[in-house]
Amino acid sequence: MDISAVIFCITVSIILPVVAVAFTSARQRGTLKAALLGGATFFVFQVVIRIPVLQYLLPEFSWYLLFQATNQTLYILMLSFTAGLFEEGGRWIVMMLFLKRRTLPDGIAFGLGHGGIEAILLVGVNAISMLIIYGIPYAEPLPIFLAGVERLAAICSHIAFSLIVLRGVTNNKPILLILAMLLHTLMNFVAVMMMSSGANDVLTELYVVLFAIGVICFSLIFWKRTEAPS
Amino acid sequence: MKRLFLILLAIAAAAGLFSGCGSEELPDGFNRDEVESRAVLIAETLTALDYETVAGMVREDLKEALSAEVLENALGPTLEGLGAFESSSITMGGTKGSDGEEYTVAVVSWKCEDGKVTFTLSFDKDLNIVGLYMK
Repeated sequence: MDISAVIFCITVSIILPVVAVAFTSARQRGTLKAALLGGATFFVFQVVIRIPVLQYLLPEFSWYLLFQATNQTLYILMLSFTAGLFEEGGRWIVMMLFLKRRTLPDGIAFGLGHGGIEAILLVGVNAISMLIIYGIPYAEPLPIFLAGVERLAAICSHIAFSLIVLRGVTNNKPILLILAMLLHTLMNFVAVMMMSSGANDVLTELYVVLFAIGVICFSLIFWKRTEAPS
Repeated sequence: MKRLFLILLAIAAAAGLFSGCGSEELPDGFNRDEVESRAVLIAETLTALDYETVAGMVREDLKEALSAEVLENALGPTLEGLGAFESSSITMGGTKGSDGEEYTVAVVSWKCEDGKVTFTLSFDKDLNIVGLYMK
């Protein structure tokens, strides 16, 4: 079986975030702190809070299991919305409290750290274990390749969301936090709905990639346009 | 900041309303008591480790996917160590499949001496099992 898909996936989900953070912090001193804060934001608000609540706490309640089984669309909307709520809300809190320097490179580094740790934990670790356990994996190469593509798009989206939220913090405009939450919800909701309605995997990932391109372009243009004149 | 808090509160309230809406009603053609009896019977039978009987209640087209062997392999390790029955509770609701057919879902919490399991059971109008999930 072709191993290039696994190598691509590991490169995108582990090597790329690490190299990108190292490169950014080497070029722009002080951005390492922003990247580490971004990584910590994902870890605390997703891994420590949201995921245990969704996987262990809520399934203890019958109404939640019933809701899960009887309202699939609303359930997907709830999952998408809570991802936006926790991740963007977490970004806002961490940026307000701990990110004292709030420049464009800091915003990019924050998003790289956030998306990077997500890629490492959700995809990179699994890809490495697969390689260690099976050598050349038995799985089809296309889904592994697509997982890598999705991570690449997700990292770009996290950079974009970080810039939108950071602009909200610098300009004291909480509405930008809401915008980031809604965009995050939209990205996840449409992708998961496509998957659950049996849409082609390539088509779903194409949507994720196009969304990432759109949102990163928007956030960069928006950042420049809303910059206070120096 | 206060405005942001209010917006978030409104979104959370809307999400709460959404999550609670419309799922408690059973679709036309389903009788609440019959569904409840059927769901409790399945929970009792499963916890008595009688997988053959439960497999017999599965809808014809799903019999292979939910055979006695499949049920035993998937549920056996958890159900074998539950101990004596203590109490149960049940919640029911209705849903529509992608094929347009209406189903009823019953969530049965089954508390025993040495643990608790929750079955999510889906039924068609003839009360055949069309979905079975255990946590």
